[in-house]
Amino acid sequence: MTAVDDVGRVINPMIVEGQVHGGLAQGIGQALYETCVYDDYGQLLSGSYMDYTMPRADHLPDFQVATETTFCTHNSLGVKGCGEVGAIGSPPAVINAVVDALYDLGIKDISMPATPEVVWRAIQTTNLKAAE
Amino acid sequence: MYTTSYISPAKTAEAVKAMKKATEGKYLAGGMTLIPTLKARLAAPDTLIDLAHCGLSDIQTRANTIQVGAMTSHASVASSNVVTQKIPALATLAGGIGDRQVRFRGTIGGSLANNDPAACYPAAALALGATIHTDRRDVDAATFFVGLFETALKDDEIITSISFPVPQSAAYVKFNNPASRYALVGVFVAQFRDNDIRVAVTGAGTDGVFRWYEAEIALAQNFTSAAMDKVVAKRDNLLSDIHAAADYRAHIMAVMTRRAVANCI
Repeated sequence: MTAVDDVGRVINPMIVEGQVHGGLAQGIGQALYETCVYDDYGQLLSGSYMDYTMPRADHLPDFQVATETTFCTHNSLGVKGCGEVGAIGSPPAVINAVVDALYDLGIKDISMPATPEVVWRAIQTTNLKAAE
Repeated sequence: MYTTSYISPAKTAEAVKAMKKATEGKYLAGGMTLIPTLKARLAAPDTLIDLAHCGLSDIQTRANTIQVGAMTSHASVASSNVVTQKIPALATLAGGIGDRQVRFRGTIGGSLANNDPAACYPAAALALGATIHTDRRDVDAATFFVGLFETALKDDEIITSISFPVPQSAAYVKFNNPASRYALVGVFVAQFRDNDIRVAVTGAGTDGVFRWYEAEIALAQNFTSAAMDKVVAKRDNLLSDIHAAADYRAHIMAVMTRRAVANCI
């Protein structure tokens, strides 16, 4: 996965890269894994990391991160926010990739998180016989 | 109120004696389930009896069987030369449990005694027709697993080792729950002779691990993934929970079985 962001003047490149990595993980988690499940009485069923899928390193691809710098004109350092930029583009990028893979089956959109079961169910609803 | 005494006997007989003396004792075989249970205050035993020093962690080869000590860690099974050569599927299974930390603490005996419906080892024991040796008797895997978290073990009974018959070929394939890394569905396929096929499924059954006889019959006639095309995976008696509905588990069960057969050939 490749991410290019404009965070203004980069003072510490390592911190910027780490922030973007974290943001990408957050966005991918939202797109593919994370969901809160409640029962009819309002009891949270996904109450621990045994049940709630926070993305771990082996759930994620390698990241290539780059910055495209335009200095911010509203502060003397020329810096911009960086904390969540990775989480903005990654969910639509991942979901668009899933929809693209399913497009020929007539599937035009899919809800997050697009877990294997969600994708399987979407395929079941199409009349085309999908290969395993 | 939550005071617990911890003892670490050097012999199984001493451990049994301590269990009989305790008001509410628990054997500690690795603690990968028990310790979190204690931390969550879901159990409060007065005595924890650690089996780590009872000498139950060696792996031996007998004629056509491998005998694994009950306190052998998953990491030791995964890296054992004997297991890797004789039943590579068992080594693969052990190497895929939990994460690295769990594999160094968790034990085969602990896993079998706990009989978590999503644990991996029960599938191997059932598919391979293992014998579970305890401090007082031998139990066939077929009668050992009774239900969810229930086994044929008496309260003070200790698994000492497990004998696995060596199959002609075998494979274990699981579909991980991405959160817990337990098996959402795991399938162990073992081929003993050309027409003697055993298929055990974990993670999916409402009563825990089970043999999938319809698949066994089809695979006994034709041991190929294609033979599974004729088998309908039914959702009856399969779990539905927040991780997967029964019909999806049925689908995954068939897919995992195909993959396991392909890995055997």
